Amino acid sequence: MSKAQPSAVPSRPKNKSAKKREPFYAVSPRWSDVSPIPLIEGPPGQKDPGPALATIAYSPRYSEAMSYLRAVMAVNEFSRRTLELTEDIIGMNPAHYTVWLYRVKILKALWESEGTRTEDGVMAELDWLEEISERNLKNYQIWHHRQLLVSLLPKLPTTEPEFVAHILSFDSKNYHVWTYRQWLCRRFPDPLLTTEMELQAVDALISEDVRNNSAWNHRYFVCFGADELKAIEAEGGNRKEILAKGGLVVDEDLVEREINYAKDHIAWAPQNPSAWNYLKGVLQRAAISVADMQVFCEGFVGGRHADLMSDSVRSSHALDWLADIYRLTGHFDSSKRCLHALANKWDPVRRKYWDFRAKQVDEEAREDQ
Amino acid sequence: MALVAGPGIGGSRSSAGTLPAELTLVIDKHVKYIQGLDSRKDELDYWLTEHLRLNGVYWGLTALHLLGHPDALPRDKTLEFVLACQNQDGGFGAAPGHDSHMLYTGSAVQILATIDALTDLEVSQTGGKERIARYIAGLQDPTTGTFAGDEWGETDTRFLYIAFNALSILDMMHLVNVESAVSYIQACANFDGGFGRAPSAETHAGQIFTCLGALSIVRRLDLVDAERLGAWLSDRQLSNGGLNGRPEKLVDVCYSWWVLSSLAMLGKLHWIDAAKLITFILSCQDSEHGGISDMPGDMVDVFHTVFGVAGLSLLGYPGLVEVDPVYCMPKKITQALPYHQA
Repeated sequence: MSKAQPSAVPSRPKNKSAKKREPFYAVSPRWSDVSPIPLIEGPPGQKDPGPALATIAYSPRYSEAMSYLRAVMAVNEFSRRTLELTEDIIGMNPAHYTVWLYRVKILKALWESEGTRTEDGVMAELDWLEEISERNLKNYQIWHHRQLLVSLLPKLPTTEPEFVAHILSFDSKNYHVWTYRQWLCRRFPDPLLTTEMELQAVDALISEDVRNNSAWNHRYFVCFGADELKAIEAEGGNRKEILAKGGLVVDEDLVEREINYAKDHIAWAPQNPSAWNYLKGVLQRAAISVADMQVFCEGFVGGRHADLMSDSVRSSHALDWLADIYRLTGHFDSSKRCLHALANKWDPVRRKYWDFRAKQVDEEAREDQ
Repeated sequence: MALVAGPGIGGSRSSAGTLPAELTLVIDKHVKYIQGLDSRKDELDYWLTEHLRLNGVYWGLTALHLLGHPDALPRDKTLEFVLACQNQDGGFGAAPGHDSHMLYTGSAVQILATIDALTDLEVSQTGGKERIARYIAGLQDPTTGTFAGDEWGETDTRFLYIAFNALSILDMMHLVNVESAVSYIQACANFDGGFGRAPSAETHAGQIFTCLGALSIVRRLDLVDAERLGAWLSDRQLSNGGLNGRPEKLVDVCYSWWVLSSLAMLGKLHWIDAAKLITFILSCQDSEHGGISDMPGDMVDVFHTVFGVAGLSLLGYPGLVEVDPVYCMPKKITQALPYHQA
């Protein structure tokens, strides 16, 4: 938006550094009618601006802009100059959530008063947002702002998947971005989920870093989770209940494809918890017993009769699974051998947990007799 | 309360010959560090973190209470500041003049309970506790049962937890639909047994804490597969003793709280190696100037200080006041709440 402003408007503050000492607003003719409101940190009605005075000596640019923000917010001014003021403050401190909320109000008022189509307004604002997003990867207001804007559009902007991929290239596990991405898929299932678009995108991320847990979570969402959510919303209840009821169609081809996908990636990095967790999730969804994975798991420990304290073990997760599988199939001694190896060699930091599991096996063995 | 990081560095030690095994918590220095935060208004970062101020007061105050120095901050000034953050709608902003938000309203209520000022509230303003509670209750989404952070509708299981936390402190749980909120939490359960910030969102230790905390408050932990979740949580401990928040992420002192408190709620605290975690947390303290950082070598801040101290309290570190894993407040205070007497 602000990029398209008429040239007659005096220039916006060039130097965004909040440490700059020269005042900007106080000397600008465009702001001469506004009386800034300094910060009063204290009980309501306190006259003395107190610490705000001390601040001005150290960070005049930022506190000056804030004092003008307070003044224009107090009278609900929605104008071009206030939009620029929010840009100025966001540039210095994008975590200030009140400024973002105010900015949305200004945008909506301006679109109406200037006759801008919502879609054009949104696209211009997204354009502006791009650079700030790159500079503030951990900020969450930016993503909320983006979601608010994109929700006003009837169709997925063609540039959006590209933008998300671009941001993930800086931080591939960014929680805000992944949350936004799921929201985007649910807002625009066509084309994101009705085509191979998301699946291919997530496959690319897993290929790049097989240990990216966020990408594995998203894969589950694309293959199964989105449908589960739809069922939860339609029928009420939760995932466990809906799965138990058999209320979801299980596409056997899809399940087989995903089991193989997980297995291939486990073979590639046997100590990667994300792929093992994913495999367990898919098995649960399809109501397949973990016991079906016995041969697969034994492949990572050197076989059924291997020395589990030796280097034939390539995955502690395989041992963990085998402990369960052997218990389920009544091979209690084998199960305990796995747990013993985990507690004493492969994962001693969690010894107490493995000991607990071994005790469970003992109890089950007793009941079995 | 300044949210300014530093100046200290976690892991710095005053006496060069100290061995890590002999590290002890420098309680007095942490108290001084927190007290000193308020005198740093001449730093730009103090003003750039204004949007967190009320959280900061909660973090600092709670740390001081757990360190056994509850009077280290002046009570009247704390109360005055908290009340100055309240808006017409009954909610609290991060600082005076900031919009109301669940995050700060929750901190305000926790601070008021910690300094035993809930009754002052009834005297000093109209509507008292109920006015705050109505603001919080108004943020519940009637269709999904979850809570928004503010009037703009961003939802997150964090907000749901804070709503339950604050409403139970205020003894006003009857204002919300507990059952629908509980179903929403269940919908957030993932294929790996954990919880995310919304249904299908990736499992994250911080979000597990919020979901378990909310379920604990309404006594519905029976809905959770404690063994599976406990296994996932204990798997967060890496060989250096520290905990991470998601698989394949870096360790960070704040997860000493999110992971540990979750394990405590599930009764599985003993599944991790406590001695190794204590050593890790202590290796993140600046034993000369006080304060704890996220990992050794980084700058200390009040956020990691409180969660490091709270983690140590859960682990039974000597000399600390017992913390409530559900509230991250002194247990003596939460146990006395009318809601928990019922």
